[in-house]
Amino acid sequence: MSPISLPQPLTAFTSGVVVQLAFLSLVPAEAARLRELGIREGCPVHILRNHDSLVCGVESSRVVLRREVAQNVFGVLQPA
Amino acid sequence: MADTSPEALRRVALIGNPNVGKTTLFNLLTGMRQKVGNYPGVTVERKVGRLDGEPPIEIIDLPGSYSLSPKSADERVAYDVLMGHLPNERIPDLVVCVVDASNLERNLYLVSQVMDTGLPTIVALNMTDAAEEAGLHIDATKLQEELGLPVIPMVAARNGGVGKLKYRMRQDQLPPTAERKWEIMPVVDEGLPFLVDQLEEYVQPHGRRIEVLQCLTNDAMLTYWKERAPAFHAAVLEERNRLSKLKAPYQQSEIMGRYNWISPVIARVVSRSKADGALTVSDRIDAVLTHRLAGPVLFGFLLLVIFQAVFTWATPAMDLIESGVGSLGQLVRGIAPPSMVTDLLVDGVIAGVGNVAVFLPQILLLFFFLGLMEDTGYMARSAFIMDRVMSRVGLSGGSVVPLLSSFACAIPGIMAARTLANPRDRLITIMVAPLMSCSARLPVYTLFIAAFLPTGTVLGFFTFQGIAMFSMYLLGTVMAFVAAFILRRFVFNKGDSSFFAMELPPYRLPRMRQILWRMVDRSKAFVVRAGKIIFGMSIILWVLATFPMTDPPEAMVTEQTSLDETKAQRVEGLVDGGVEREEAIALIDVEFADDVQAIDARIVAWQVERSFIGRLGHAIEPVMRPLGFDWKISAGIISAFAAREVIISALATIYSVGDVDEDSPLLREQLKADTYEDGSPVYTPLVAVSLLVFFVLALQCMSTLAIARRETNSWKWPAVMWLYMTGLAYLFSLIIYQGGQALGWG
Repeated sequence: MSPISLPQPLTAFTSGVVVQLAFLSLVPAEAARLRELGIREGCPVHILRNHDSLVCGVESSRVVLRREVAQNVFGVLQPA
Repeated sequence: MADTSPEALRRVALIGNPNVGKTTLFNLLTGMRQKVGNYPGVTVERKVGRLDGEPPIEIIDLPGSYSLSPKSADERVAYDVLMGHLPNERIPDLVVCVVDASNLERNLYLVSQVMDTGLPTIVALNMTDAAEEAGLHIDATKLQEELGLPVIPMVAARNGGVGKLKYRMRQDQLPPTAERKWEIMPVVDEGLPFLVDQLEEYVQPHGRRIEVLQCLTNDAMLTYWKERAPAFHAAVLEERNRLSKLKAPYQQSEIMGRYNWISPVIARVVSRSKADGALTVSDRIDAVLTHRLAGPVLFGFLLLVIFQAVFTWATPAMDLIESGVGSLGQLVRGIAPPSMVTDLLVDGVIAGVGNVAVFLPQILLLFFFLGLMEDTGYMARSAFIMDRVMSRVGLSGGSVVPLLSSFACAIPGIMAARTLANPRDRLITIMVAPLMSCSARLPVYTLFIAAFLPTGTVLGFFTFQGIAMFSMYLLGTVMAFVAAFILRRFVFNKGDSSFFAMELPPYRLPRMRQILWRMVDRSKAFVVRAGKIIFGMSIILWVLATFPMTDPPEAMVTEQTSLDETKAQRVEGLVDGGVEREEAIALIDVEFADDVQAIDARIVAWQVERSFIGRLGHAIEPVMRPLGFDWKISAGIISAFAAREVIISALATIYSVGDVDEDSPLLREQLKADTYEDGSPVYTPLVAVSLLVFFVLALQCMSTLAIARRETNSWKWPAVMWLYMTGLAYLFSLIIYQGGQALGWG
């Protein structure tokens, strides 16, 4: 049986991995904007860059999140 | 004959996420038959065009929106048009929802909201080529069945599918109204019917449910109804309260409900031939252009190149316009008899129009480069690159585009701030945008730097004057950042400012036709807007400098009469010597030209000093003297309140130089030669620096105040803006002049 992985902020993941989003710990208006951009619970997010800001791939689009925002978006590593 | 009045035309609204090719499609459909204006009460651009043919169709290009749950002024307009909330805006007969096929899931979110408005809708499935490239195969027929709407696959950038769309838009039979396909969580759903009923008097049946959903989650949307339908407003608050007590996640219920329907639809209509996550060409370009170290350096270099190009490439065209305006003035003077009307026409109207037209080459170039940045996708990157710096002053990267636009003119800059979702960020950006050195300051910088600052070089390459010019731009930018920091820290210090999330569109090859089109479009809007102010102000200035008309003193009249007599005697002498009379007059006119000009100039200067503008200058002089400014500069500053560049023509009028521009050696010489009664120069390098700094910081632009009033919907913020910028200008000029004098530089 594989261990249950706990959701972690997106900033905790390295570039190149795919993360399945678990929840958004943001105020409703900000969470709504992210969901409209495609960053929503259950969707796979490809971490492209994780430096000052976080650049991620959602479907074919690329979304940049300020670090403080990415720290409040939680997900679990999707198996390769 | 068919009725083609706007009321009778079929009205089609184009809506879509940003960067889905909506404007490309709008241009393809309407060609040059476009009109750009503003929606009533807001400055969000309203683009309407006409698709000719039978029947003719009116097409309205709505601002790019991720959803119909508005977060910014732009998105609010898109929603209000569809809902019929805007006065004098007819609800569209048909909506074309432009969708990016390579981001179908996210784009269908907006489609599902449009479907809920109950308006007949067509889905334009654009960028199918990009989707294919990404390995996404979309079954358009299946998608059509799933949505219950016509779906037209397109590649608008290559004109693909546009014919089919036109055909579908023209069909007599409008597409059927789509049915709502998604379900909201039951606990929220059960409260909706009562709220929907409350809107019976105010909203057409098709839009009531979506209006209720928006009001349930969006405070700004609910506020709209506070005065209009107090019972509905109160009922929504009560419903929110009920849902909160039940711990129902109602704020995300709409989004989750829609995606719960969309995700299975996607699974049924999209098949993938490539694995997700492969790096694209744009990702590879971004690795360099948005690199955390190389990115800012490249961005700075790009700005340097743009400004260099704007200032150097525009010069020949500006010279050409200046000489054209001058020639036109001379032509009118040659044709029309000397009169006050001719003076008004030449010195007021033609010079006024010239004042606007001369900046057009720079404006065109700046809009060209901004368009290039926008079209290639780099503009979004500039916001990303600068976000780190902007976050330090309490703003986000989203403010970069408005601030960059303000280098051309604060008006488009302030208008660009409407894309910012955070009202506080938007207000701060509006408040500091006028500190960025706009093109109207350029003539003032050029005149005073060329006249009073040394011409030597530093390191054999940079000129003092070039560095001084750069310093003016730098000072404005630094002050904008400082002002933003202070406003954020001490005025708008409530709430969190850490949110910044934006989409990076893929890089695309620039489409020159689109860029040139947009450049002309925006420049036209700028000229019309700015032109009205400067045109009117030039006429007012002429009146202020001409009236009240006073007779020159006896001594000057005697001197002028005596000069005329001397000229007449010399002419008679030459005629007696055998020279033809006409030739003699011409010879003597040339010989005495300088003397005649000098006495005429003294008479005009004497009259101007006693005119309204002269009196104003004298009245304000005691306040401006501590900054090093005499009555003439003070009068120039007053006249430049409406528009900065007016100071050039104001000084020319006061110094009686005639038709001049900022490069005119004559005006420069007049300024250099001007002295006080004790013989000390009016203008020293210290006075020039003090004046330059005043112009960097002061808010002297009525159009900016008017736009700020419209954008903030209040006179409070324009008043604060004028006071803080003028106060800052006075304070800095005072420190520079008094400090410089204390150090013995004056």
